[in-house]
Amino acid sequence: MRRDVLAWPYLTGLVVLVLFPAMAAIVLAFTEYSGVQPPTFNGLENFSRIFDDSLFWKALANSLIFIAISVPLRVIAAGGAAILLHSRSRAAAVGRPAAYLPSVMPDVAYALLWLWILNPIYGPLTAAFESLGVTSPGWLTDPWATRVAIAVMSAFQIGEGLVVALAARRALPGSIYEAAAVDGASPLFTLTRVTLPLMAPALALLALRDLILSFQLNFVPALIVTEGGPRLATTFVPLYVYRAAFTYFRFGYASAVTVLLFAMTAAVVFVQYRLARRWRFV
Amino acid sequence: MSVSLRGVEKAFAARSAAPIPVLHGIDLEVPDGEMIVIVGPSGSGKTTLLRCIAGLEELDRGSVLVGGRDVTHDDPGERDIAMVFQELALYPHLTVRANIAFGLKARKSPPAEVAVAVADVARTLELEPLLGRLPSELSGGERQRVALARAIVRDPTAFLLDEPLSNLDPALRTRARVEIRTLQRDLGRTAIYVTHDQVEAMTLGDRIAVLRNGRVEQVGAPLELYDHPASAFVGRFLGTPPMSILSSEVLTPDRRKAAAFGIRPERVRLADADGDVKATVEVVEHIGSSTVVHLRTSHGELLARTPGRDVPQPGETVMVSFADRDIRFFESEDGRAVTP
Repeated sequence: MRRDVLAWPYLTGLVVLVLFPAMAAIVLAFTEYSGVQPPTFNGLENFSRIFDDSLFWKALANSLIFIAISVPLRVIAAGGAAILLHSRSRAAAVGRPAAYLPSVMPDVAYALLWLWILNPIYGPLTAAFESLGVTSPGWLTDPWATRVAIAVMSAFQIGEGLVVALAARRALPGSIYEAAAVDGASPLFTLTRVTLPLMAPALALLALRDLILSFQLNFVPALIVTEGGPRLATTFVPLYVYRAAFTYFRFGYASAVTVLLFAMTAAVVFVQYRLARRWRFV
Repeated sequence: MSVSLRGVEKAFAARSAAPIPVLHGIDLEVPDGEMIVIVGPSGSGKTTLLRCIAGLEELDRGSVLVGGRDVTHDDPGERDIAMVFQELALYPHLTVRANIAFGLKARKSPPAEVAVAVADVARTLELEPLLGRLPSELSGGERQRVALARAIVRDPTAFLLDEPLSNLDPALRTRARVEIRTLQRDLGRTAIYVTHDQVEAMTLGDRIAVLRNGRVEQVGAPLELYDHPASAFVGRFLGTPPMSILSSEVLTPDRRKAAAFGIRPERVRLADADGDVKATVEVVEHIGSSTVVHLRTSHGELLARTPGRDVPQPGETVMVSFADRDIRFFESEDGRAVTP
């Protein structure tokens, strides 16, 4: 048996589920297509419409706000969990799967769970605030509180990031921690001068990966928990594309937005990659 | 300052069995300014002992005193000792300068003092041109010097060195050995040096403590241990080539004072006719300055070391002899020494 035969299912999936739709999106971006009539070529008209569409800019701003809140939160959560849970202790052994668990929950179930948590009348988060004598922010009614809530939701689904950060933390030799202990370094000094700088390349890689992921991972919560509101505060680009395609049947226009989003993501990745290349010392 | 170990016991937990004892009631006194070398084979507990002194392992029983102060329950950073690790444990993301300064900054020393101390140590160890480099940009010998610099910059009361030369090539190791010895004498600080290399032990230590299976087999000056090993194990462990241990049955009955005896290879005389024992030459090793002859007797292997190169060839039968004053008797071939 040829060894590369094992690659065929993967390659088939890649072509059918990724490459073909991507190529189709690029082609459709230059067409007028409602899904009923055959697509008609319209040149760069979809792209010029994007720049005149205030709703697109609103969605893009929402996405960037989400990224600005969610990426640091997720990297801090993954890095922090890795630092706390890397040891071989029994508590850490229980903590690791617990921290990973939200990532294996189906997205819709996870979103529905948060819909309950954030509920302004009977949600536990509201109850927790009230028990402290503090008025709970309107998690589903105030635009900024809702944006923060969606970002916080994403900060619990850090399973893959946790695995990367755990691997980075465990790769650090124990002897340097023993050297720091003999040197009289406090835990905080060791964390800030040894652990974090040595994990920085891995955490930077995680941030890079999360930046790409964060353009997309708000789709399900925005659709199910907030439905894009309140006052369009959580209408992120993926939801905007989805509605353009499947609510208003503007497949050509939706494809053009997707292509633009892809180009923007690629540009950001390129800049970060160039920056990350300088970060080598080990 | 002196370092004292009193009844130090340590066992490591095993997953499916009873704890495995590693140190069995170690007592050791290291006077102020002395360099003691703890030597022993792999698994004898020497690194564990050093880690117990550093505070990196908790004792099950016993106590550790530094300068008369009981530090058994102190954190490693509170013991005022410095340690050089076998793998050197330099911080890979910090420059040589920052590596050396790390301990002082951790103890919140004023920046001006840190700069002066780092400069002094860098001058002493000839590290000045390397201060801006990362550990990955240094050779093995340079890294080893940085690790030493990091230890001495804090001016601790005692140094612990865990096989710091094991990753160096032989030529560099010899030079580094001399440097460490000179540095320790100049600083006048107590040093506890762990190694499994008996040449390092013989050349570095004011005294040597031989460890075996978590027990101190013998403590004493290097030549005292070499000439008067307290056990067959010490005799075999110290010296290259090692002491030969044979059953006393090869001796004439009037010379037998115990079940076994040991003889250093350089004390064995090869004779053509008259001699004490008949032996067959198995292997001849020409070291250059001398020749080591591996001999097979009716009661075991015997090594002879002679300054000349004109020695019997493999397969030849020779007579060997040894003077009574060169023989050391033991209870058995693995037993304690018997005092005549």
